[in-house]
Parts: sequence; structure tokens; C-alpha cells
Amino acid sequence: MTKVLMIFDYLKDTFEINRRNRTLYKPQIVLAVLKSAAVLLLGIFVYFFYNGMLNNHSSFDSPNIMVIVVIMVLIALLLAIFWLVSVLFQAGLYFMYYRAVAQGSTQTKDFWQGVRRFFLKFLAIDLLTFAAWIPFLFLYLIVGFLTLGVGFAIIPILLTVFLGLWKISIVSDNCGVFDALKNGFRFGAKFFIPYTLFVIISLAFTNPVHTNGTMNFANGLSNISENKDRETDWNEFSPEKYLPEYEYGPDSKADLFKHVSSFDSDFFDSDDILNPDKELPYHYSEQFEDPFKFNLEKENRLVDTLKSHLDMVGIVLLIGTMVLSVGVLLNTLIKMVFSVFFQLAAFVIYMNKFEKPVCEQACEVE
Amino acid sequence: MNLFSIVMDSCKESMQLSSKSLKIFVPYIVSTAITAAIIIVFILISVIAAVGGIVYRLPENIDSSNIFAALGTLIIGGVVIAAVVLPVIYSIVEAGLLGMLKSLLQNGQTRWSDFFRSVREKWLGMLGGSIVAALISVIVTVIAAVILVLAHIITLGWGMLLGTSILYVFLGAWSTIYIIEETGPVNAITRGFYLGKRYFWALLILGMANTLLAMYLSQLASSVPIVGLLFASIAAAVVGTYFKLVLMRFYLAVRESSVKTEI
Repeated sequence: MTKVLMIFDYLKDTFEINRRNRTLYKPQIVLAVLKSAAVLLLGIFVYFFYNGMLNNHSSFDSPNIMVIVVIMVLIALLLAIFWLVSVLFQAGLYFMYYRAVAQGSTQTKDFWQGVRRFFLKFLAIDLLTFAAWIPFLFLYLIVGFLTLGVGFAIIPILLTVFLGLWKISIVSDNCGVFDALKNGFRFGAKFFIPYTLFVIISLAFTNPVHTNGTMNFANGLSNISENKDRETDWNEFSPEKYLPEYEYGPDSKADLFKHVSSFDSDFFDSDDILNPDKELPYHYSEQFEDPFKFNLEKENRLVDTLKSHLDMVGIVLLIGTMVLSVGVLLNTLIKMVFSVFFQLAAFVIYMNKFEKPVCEQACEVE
Repeated sequence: MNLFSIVMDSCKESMQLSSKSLKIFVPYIVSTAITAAIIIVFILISVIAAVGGIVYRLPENIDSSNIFAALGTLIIGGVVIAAVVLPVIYSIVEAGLLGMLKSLLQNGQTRWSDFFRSVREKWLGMLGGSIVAALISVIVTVIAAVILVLAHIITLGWGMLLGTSILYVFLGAWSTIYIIEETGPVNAITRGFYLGKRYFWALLILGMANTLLAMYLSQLASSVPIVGLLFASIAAAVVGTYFKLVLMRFYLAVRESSVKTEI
């Protein structure tokens, strides 16, 4: 129980260190701005691509595979660059935490010193973790299902307890990657109960339940454009509304509508449509006994109206991305306050190793 | 000593005391169980009545007046439970629990007699104060609804948490003040407001910690199959009781440091 109570003393120390070293927030603020800018740029890129496809009708019918591959490669490259930048910032920031705890204060130069000393080691840890996840994922799923779902909740906490101090140990013990792994694991095992309590408290603040659906908002925004397409009332585009000159009987209206929505667009794009001697497409002549009077100009009006709706979808997408980038910035800044505090607290706890004496007076009931 | 240190000391002492007096967690757990039982019984009765009505009533007798009558009964029953039964249960439990916590902090131990004595003396005032506090909460929430929703969207989920925590800052301490001080519930609400104004950040941290930990532990506990909901309710009750103790300890600490809140 004494060690559990020590957590609150360490949190007090962390608060004091945090208060005296506001420079600790600078790297996180820069990272948050970069993240927000990346989301905004991605959204603008997607918007222009979407607009480009919209203006080129044939793209919808026969999309250029190369374009899609290029876009996917660009997105993957963007994610990889962002990951490298995150690791860089983490290396510098962790060394600032170490300096703040060990010496009581830190400066901006500590950031770059941390980057120089620990960037490659942090990169190696991330790559090792990623590689370990591939086989571990199956084990995780098996254990999770065998424990009827309990494992899915407990395993991430256990992983944080035993592996969460890996990078902290590298910085504070100034050792190799595998020695740091052993040190962190031993610490988690030795002080399992108090450190697990600390981990649960820190996860409650840094990975809060209510924002687990944060990116559901982003998905929701992308779904807006999809839903608008799905929910579009196609009756709005019925020929009788735009093409009153059509002569057709009661039954053929449905056929006409079906025909317009499923017509082969190549026929419209070709010059053959203006050639009265050109034989009509097979499915066209089969559906109608008497070819209806076709007005190309009116048909283009139909397409323009459809295009204006799709333009609106693009604008909604762009505005949604701007809102999302602001949301990402604010969300990251709020989380940053807690993540800086609890990462610093983890350093305080690891470096003190629960050996700091507890003031007996403070524990007595007054 | 800064306010954060006072909050941490309150948390530390509360953890030590609560580990020695586990009976303080019983009232909230029992009240959660009673509330759940009432709601389940109400739903079961409604379902049985609806099914029974459909089974035994001939189809040609089912018309809109019967449906409206059934719906009206359901709604009235729900309102009676939500507006009358549950607040009474809550007031009784809250008054008794806070009496136990007061005894624990002042004497180092607590008994069930503390619970029942506090219920006898304070439950009616607690009921009145709860109604007033709930009305204030509803009015404030309705007025700030648009801002809350916008803040929730723009911060990707933090808006509602901050909103509820701010409500906790100004309305969360009144029941503690009512039990500790010899004052009426309305006076306690006013003093609680000024306490929140003076110690805004400290109470905000407590409010957020209370909500975040309760939600996180409930989510963890709910992963247990079949009885997950039960465990989640117990987790929420335990966290809620703990932070009641922390808040009371914090209030006593700031009161003892000669910082008084005056109307």
C-alpha cells in the first residue's frame, strides 16, 4: 500500500517539474500543428483529385489504375514521413523529460541532443515492436477469444506495464535497446501493482474512452459524401421534369428512366449519336418499339444538374477536412497536456524506483 | 502548498482510509443494484403487459386508443420512476454515504449507525437540494447546448467531458457542504458555487478524473462476458465513492487553511 500511495507524491513532484519547465510543451505543440497541417493537406489533395475525376467523366467509367496507385503510394509516403517525424520528436522530448527530472530544468538544446543520441534507438524499438506485432497479433486474438473478450481489454494494459518503460530506460539508463527492454520488464514485474495502477490512471487520461471514436468523426465526414450520393433522390432527375418534350406512354416512362440511368455513356461521348443513320446500341433498340424523340441538349442539362450536386459533395468534403484539421489540432493539444504530464510522471517513477520515502505525517488522518 | 498538492494529498489519504473501511463502497453499489432492479422490473412488466394484451386481445379490438393508453401508461410510469422513485433513493443513499464519509474523516472509522443517523437527519434536505441542483443543471445545459455540441465536435470528443466537469465544479460540492456544515441545502448550493469559483482548476481536475476513471474502469470491467454490465456498475460505484471521499477531504483541507467561502 505504501508504494501505491507514493504515486501521489510522484504526481506532486511531476506537477512541480512541469510547472517550472514549460519548454516541455514546445515540441508537442509543433507536432500537433504538423499533424493538423498534414490532415488539411491530405484533404485538399483528395478534394482536387475528386474534382479532377468529376470534370473528366470517363474517369468514372474507366478509372486510371496508375493514378490510384500513385495516390496510395503518396499517402503511404506521407504516413511514413509523419511516423519518422514523430519518432524524432519523441527522442528529443524524452531527453528533455530526463533532464527536467534529473536536473530540475531543461532547455531547447536538450531536444536536439536527445534526437542525436536516441533517434536511431527509438526507430529500432518501433521497428522491433512493429515486427513483433505480426506474430503477436494472432496470439492476441487467440487469447482474446479464449478469454471471451477479457484479454482484449487486459493485454494492452499489461503490454504498457512491461514495455512502456522501454524508451524511458534507454534514455535514463543510457543503455542499449535490449538492456533497456530487460530493465523496463524487470521494473514492471517488481512494482507490478503500483505501476499498473499508475498505468490505468494515465491511460484513462491519455486514451480516454469518450474520444475513442475520435476518428469516427473523420469517418463520419467521409460518409457524408457517400450518404449524399446514396440518399440522392433519383426521381429528381426524372426526364419528365427536365425533358417535357418527350413523347412517351405511361409504361415507357419507367423504361425510359431505367434506360437513362443505365445507358452506356460511350454512346453519348461518341459522334455517332448525331448520325441519324447510325444503328442504335443493341439494348436501346430492344427496349423500345418506337424510338422516342431524343434531345441531346436536354440530356446535357440533366448531366449538368447531376454534376452540380457532385460539386456540392466535393465542397462538403473540403469544409469537412478543414473542420477535421482544426479538431485534430485541438484534440491533440488537449491530449498533449495529459500526455506530457504522465510521460514525465513515468520518468519520475522509474528514476525513483518507489524508493522515495513517504512522509508518515502526511498519511495520517488529521 | 499549492492546490494540486492538496488534491494529491486528499487522494492519498482517501485511498488509505477507504482501503481500511471497505463498507463505504456498499451504499452506491446497493443503490445501483436497486436502480437497475427497478428499471428491469418496470421494463419486464411493460413487456409482459404488452405481450399479454396482444395475445389475449382479439386483433379487431386493437385500435389507436388502446395503443395510446398503453404508451401513456408506459410514459407516466417511466416519469414517476425517474422523477420520484429514483431521486428519493439517490437522496437517501447520498445522505447516508456522506454521513459515513464524514465520520471516517473525522474519527478514522465509520459504522452503519452513521449511515442511518445521517439519513434520518439529512435525507429530506438532500432531496430538496438534489431537485434544485438538477433544475439548475438542466437549465444551464439547455442554454449551453449549442455551445456544448459545437465544442464536442470541434474538439473531437472533449466538449461534453469539459462541460460535465464544469458543471461538477459549480454543483458537485453542495452535498458535501450540506453534510459538513450546519446549513440548508440552498445555502449549501450557493456556497458550493463560490467554492467552485475559487478553486476552479482543482475541482475541474477532480471532476475530470472522476469521469475519466469511471468511464475507463467501467469499459474495462464490461469486457467480462455476461456479468460485464454488473462489474461496470460496481466499478463506477467504487470510483464515485472514492472521489466523494476525496472531495470531502479536499473541502476540509481548504476550510482548515482558513479560506472561507461567504455568500
